[in-house]
Amino acid sequence: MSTDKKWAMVIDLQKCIGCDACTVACKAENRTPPGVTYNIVITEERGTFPNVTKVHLPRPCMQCDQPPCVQVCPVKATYKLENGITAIDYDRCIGCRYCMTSCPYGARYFDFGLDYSQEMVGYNEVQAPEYGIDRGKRENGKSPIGNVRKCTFCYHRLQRGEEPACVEVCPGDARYFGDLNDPESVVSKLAASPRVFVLKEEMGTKPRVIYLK
Amino acid sequence: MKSSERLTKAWYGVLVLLMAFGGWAIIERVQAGLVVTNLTSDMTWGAWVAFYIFFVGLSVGSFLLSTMFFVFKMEKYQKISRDALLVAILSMGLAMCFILLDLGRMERFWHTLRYWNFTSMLAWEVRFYAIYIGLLTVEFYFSMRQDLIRVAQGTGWQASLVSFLTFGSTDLTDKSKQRDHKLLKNFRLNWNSHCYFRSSRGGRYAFCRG
Repeated sequence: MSTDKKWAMVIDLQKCIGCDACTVACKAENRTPPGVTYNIVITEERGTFPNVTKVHLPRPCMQCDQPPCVQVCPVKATYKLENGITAIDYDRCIGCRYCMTSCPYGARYFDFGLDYSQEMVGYNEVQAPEYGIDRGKRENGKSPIGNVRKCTFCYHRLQRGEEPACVEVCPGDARYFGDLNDPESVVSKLAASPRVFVLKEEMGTKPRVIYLK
Repeated sequence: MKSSERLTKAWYGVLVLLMAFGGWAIIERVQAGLVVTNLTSDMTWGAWVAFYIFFVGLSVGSFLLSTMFFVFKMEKYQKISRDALLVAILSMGLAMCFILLDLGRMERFWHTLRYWNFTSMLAWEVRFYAIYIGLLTVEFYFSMRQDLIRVAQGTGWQASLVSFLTFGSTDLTDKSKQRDHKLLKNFRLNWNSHCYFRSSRGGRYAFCRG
C-alpha cells in the first residue's frame, strides 16, 4: 500500500438514521468475539418535551493523530502506521490494558477469549485477517486472545482497495472514507465544511474521524 | 495441649485453607484466562491493580522505616530495621505477582523490559521497580553480612551454604561492621541525593573502598 495516504472518515450525523448496520457489518467483517465491538452507535435524546430530538453518534476508533493509547503503551505494541491508522501488534501486546484506561473514547476492547461457537457454526475456524495478517483458527492461548483490540479502519479491506465495511454498508450514506492528503477527495472537501466537529477536541487527540453536525 | 497452642493450630489451619483456595483460584485464572475475573472492557482494572499499588506502597513505607536506623541512627528502631527491609522485599515480590496475574498474556511479562516506550509511565515504573528491588536486595545483604559471617564460621550445612554468600570473608572486626553500616547508609543517600552531600562530608566514595 502506498504510504502517502492519510486515511480519514467523515460521518454525517444528519444522514445517520441510527440503524446500527455499521455495528453489525463490522462484527461480521472482523468476526469480533462477544464483548469486542469496534463500532457502536451511541443514541442520545436531547431537549425537553415537546422539543425533543434523538441524536445517533456512530463511534469507531478515532485513529487519533495524537493518540493517548500509543503514548502510554509500555511495550510499544500499539503504534501509528504511516497511513494514519493506529495499529496493535498482537504479538507484542502483554494485555496490561493501560491503553484502554487512557482512551477518551472507549474505543478499545479486551479480548477475554469468549466466542460465538454456541450461536454460530465454525466461528472459531476462521479469523479476520486484521492488519493483513492471517492468524488461522481462533484458539485459547493464541493472540489476539488476551490482547486489546480495536477498530483497524478495516486495514485488510483497504489493502484490497475496498472501503471499510461500515462505510460500504451504511444505508443512509452517512459515512465517507478517503485520503486526507488528497485535496480533491470527498473527505478533504467535507472536512472543510462549517458543520465539522470532532469528539472531545479539548483532549488534543486530533481524531481522524470527523463528524458533520 | 494448651488452649493457646490449639488456637494457634486452628489459625494455621484456616490460613492453609485460604492458601489452598488461593492456589485453586490462580490455577483457574491461568487456565481460563482473565474471563474468570468478571472484568469488562468498561471496567478494565480491578482489585489486583489496587492490591499491587497497595503492596508497592507498603514496601516503600517499610523501606523508609528501616531508614530510621540505617541512616538516622535512631536506636529504638534497630530491632525492626532488618525486618522492615525483608518486608519491603517481600511486598515488592507480592506486588509483582499481583500485576503478573493481571496481565492478559502473562508469558510476555518480559516484554516490559525488552521493549521501551519512552513516553509510557508504566514502562518507567517497571524499570524503577527492577532497580528498587535490586537496591533492596543489596541493602538486605549488607544488613545481614555480619551475621552471615558468624554462621559461616560454624559447622554443618548452614555454614557451607552461607559461606558461599559471604565470599569467604571472616572479618568480624568493628571496622568491617562500620563499613557495612556506612555502605547501608550511603546506598540510600547516593540514590536520594546529589554527590554534593558526600563530598561535603569530606568522606571518600563508599563504593571505592576496600
